[in-house]
Amino acid sequence: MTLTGINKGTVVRVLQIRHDKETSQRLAELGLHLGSLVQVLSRAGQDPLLLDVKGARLALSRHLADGLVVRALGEDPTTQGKRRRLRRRRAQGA
Amino acid sequence: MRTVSKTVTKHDPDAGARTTSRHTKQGNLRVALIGNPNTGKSTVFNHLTGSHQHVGNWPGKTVEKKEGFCRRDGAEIQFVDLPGAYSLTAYSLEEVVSRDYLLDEKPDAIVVVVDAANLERNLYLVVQVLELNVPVILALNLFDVAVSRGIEIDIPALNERLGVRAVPTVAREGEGVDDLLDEILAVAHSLPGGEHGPQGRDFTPAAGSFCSPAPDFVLDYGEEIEAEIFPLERKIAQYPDVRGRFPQRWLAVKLLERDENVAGKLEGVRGGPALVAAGEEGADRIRARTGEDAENLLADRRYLWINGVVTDTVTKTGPEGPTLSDRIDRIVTHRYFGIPIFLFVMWAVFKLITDVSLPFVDWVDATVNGPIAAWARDLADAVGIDGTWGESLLVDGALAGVGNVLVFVPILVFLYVMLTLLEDSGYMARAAFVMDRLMHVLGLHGKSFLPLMVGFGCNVPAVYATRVLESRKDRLLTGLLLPFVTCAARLPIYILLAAVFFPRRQSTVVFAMYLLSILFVIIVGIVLSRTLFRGKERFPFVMELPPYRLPSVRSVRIHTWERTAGFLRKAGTVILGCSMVIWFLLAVPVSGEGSFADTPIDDSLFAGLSETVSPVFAPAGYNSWELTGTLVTGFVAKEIVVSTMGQVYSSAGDTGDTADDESFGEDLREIGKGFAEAGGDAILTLPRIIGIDLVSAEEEQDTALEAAIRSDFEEASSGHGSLAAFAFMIFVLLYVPCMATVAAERHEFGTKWMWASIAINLSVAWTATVLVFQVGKLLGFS
Ligand SMILES: Nc1nc2c(ncn2[C@@H]2O[C@H](COP(=O)(O)OP(=O)(O)OP(=O)(O)O)[C@@H](O)[C@H]2O)c(=O)[nH]1
Ligand SMILES: [Mg+2]
Repeated sequence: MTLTGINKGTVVRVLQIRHDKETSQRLAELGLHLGSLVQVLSRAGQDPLLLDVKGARLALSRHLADGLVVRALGEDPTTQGKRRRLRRRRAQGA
Repeated sequence: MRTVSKTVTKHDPDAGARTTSRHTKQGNLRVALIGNPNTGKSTVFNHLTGSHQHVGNWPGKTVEKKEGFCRRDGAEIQFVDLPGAYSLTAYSLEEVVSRDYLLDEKPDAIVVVVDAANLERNLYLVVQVLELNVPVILALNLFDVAVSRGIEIDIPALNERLGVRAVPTVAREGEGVDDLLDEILAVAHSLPGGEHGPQGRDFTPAAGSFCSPAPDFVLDYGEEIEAEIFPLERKIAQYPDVRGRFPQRWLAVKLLERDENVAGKLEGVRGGPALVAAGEEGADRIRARTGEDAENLLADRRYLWINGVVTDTVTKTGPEGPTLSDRIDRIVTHRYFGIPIFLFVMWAVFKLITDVSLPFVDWVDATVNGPIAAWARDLADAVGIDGTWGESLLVDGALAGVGNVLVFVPILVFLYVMLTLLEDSGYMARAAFVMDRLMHVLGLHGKSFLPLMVGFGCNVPAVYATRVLESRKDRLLTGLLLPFVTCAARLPIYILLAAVFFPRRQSTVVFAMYLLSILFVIIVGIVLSRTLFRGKERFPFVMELPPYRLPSVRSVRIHTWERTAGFLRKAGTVILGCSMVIWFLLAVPVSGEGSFADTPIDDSLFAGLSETVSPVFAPAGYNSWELTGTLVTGFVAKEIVVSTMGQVYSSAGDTGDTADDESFGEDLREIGKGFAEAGGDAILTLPRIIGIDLVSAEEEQDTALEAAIRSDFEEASSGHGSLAAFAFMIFVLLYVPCMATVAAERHEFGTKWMWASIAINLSVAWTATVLVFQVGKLLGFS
């Protein structure tokens, strides 16, 4: 599943980045890298997505979101919970 | 803190070569400020050096490196404010500027300004800078924001993990900046060369063994990658030319990332191509072993390491749940409300700019053409050039020129205030987000809509506002569309002509001009994006949205003043020069018996030149030298169209010096009273924010002027006066806005594109004006 298909409020983990090298490096430096956790804050029609990435708010065009293969980890309305979860999963995953 | 400041903008590609000698001579320390976009680098820089660099709440304001100086304890430190960058893998143009500065000019120390409320992402850049093995000082800026979100940072622990000194700062209030300077000086004293700063050095370990806070930062990338880094480092060490230019480990990592920029830098260096090839082999082996691209794996490892640091040093105790910023965003970036809110904000801004500033515009106009013109004549009297061409040059040339610039100023001041509020609040970034989809139709991104909106006030600042856009293609395309946005200066022409020819539908006609303006932006945008700009690279839209912030009075004041002063300087030179030329053309007789500066206007060189152009407008219905002449002077500034009409249609010629008899004191009192009235009028306009206020804009018209205009249009179009006037208004709407805009376009886009823009405007304007007249005639309009 790509990031475009994810519902508002859902936290996802990035599994695969299907973009050219430059774009994936750009995304990585903005916090979107393999294994990173992202929450979709809003997605509307053809508009760019609004994401919570490591506490920062990121607007991402749908074209870019299409190239991010992700796995949904469940709804989480608060950023706070996301951050905690992020740390926990990091600790477990590493 | 005493600061001595001087800001120098440099475009000097090989400055690095000469830096060493320059700084050895002066013995001062060079410190670069780097950090993610919008973390407050320029705010820190301004505090340290007393400069006034552009500050605002959206990423990407600083696009060039700026230098400033700070004197403290007898030492002079040179600071360099760099554009924001998310990493040292330069991706956009301004990031290349930052990275090249760090690599090629080798500053003595680097201050990384990080967002303390967003440490994890910010550390991604920090670790890359640390790998350069240059002394690093960390400014934990926006510390107030971090505190308010309940984010606690264990600074000693952070210092230990990163091997640097971190200083909490609140740059906007200047807090902590002194401590930061202390740390910088401490680093300076520990550099080789001590008190008087370091001597030239390179990255080789022998020369780099300074006892600085961060000499030996090593991030462990894990076995698979380290196994490739080590041999690469050894290989780098074999080539002195390479070794001298780049830190070894950093270079090894970049080679594994197959960094094109670095490969480019290594091209002409002995051993360079071999190293690039070795890097690619290493990356291939990593891929074969792990199934991942090396660069993705490297990024992942960096974040893994950073995550460890953040877990150990940052605790969050703040309130749960979304921030106020998030709550505002839920409404403002809403799927359905987003665009209406955006349009409302823009419309309100536009209304405020025009309505509130127009009384002040009238006041400046009255002051310049009343008392100041009288003073100028008095001055001419006093120095004995009264009644000569010298007086005419002073009053009709210089003063008229400067006056036209001054008339702009109230509009600009309000525009700048509103722009600063939009910028500083953080709404600007949201506007880009919301408008993105609509702007795709024009082959642009949402960000382009902002310069276009600015253009309704004045095209000149709008051209500069295109700097908001990342890609040159977007900047250019937006810059070419801008002149079609009808600026405030065109409004008086519409109002005057609509009053003469469409007295009962005046407001409809004026409003139609605004709708036509938008229509032409769309049409030309669609055409250009499908022809000239087809298939050009498109910057993938990804942008950080900063949290909303309350704009500070101080920053609004400073910004407005800086921008206004800049406009006065620039436009003053261009418009002043041009108006002198026009005065000259009007003063030189080419026929009849007149002499220089004393000739009937019909016999002037100006009339002669206009006559050579006017046949071009025969198919548009206004082939007369007067009308053509006003359009020609309109190149300089659109206000001049109306004033030129006044000149060429008045047979009496003399405007009468009614203010002459008043004393200087009375004049001053009048000016003050006028200002107070303008202020009162401005406040009165506030509640009336509905529609274009034609009532107050329309002053007692000179009926003689109206009659002259009407008869000239009727005559030139052989009986289709109204239609010709409408065609004329469309030409005014669509042709080159003014010299100042042209100058701004040249400054931003270069001479070639300036001419392209002029050509597009003239051809579109001429075609449209002819079409309107001819089709209108066929349809039976008069
Ligand atoms: N609350 C708060 N705001 C700050 C602080 N420092 C800077 N700001 C604000 O943060 C915004 C960004 O500041 P800038 O100095 O323009 O940032 P920059 O890093 O130079 O940005 P770019 O040049 O675009 O990369 C402005 O609105 C500042 O007023 C701070 O310590 N606290
Ligand atoms: Mg800046």
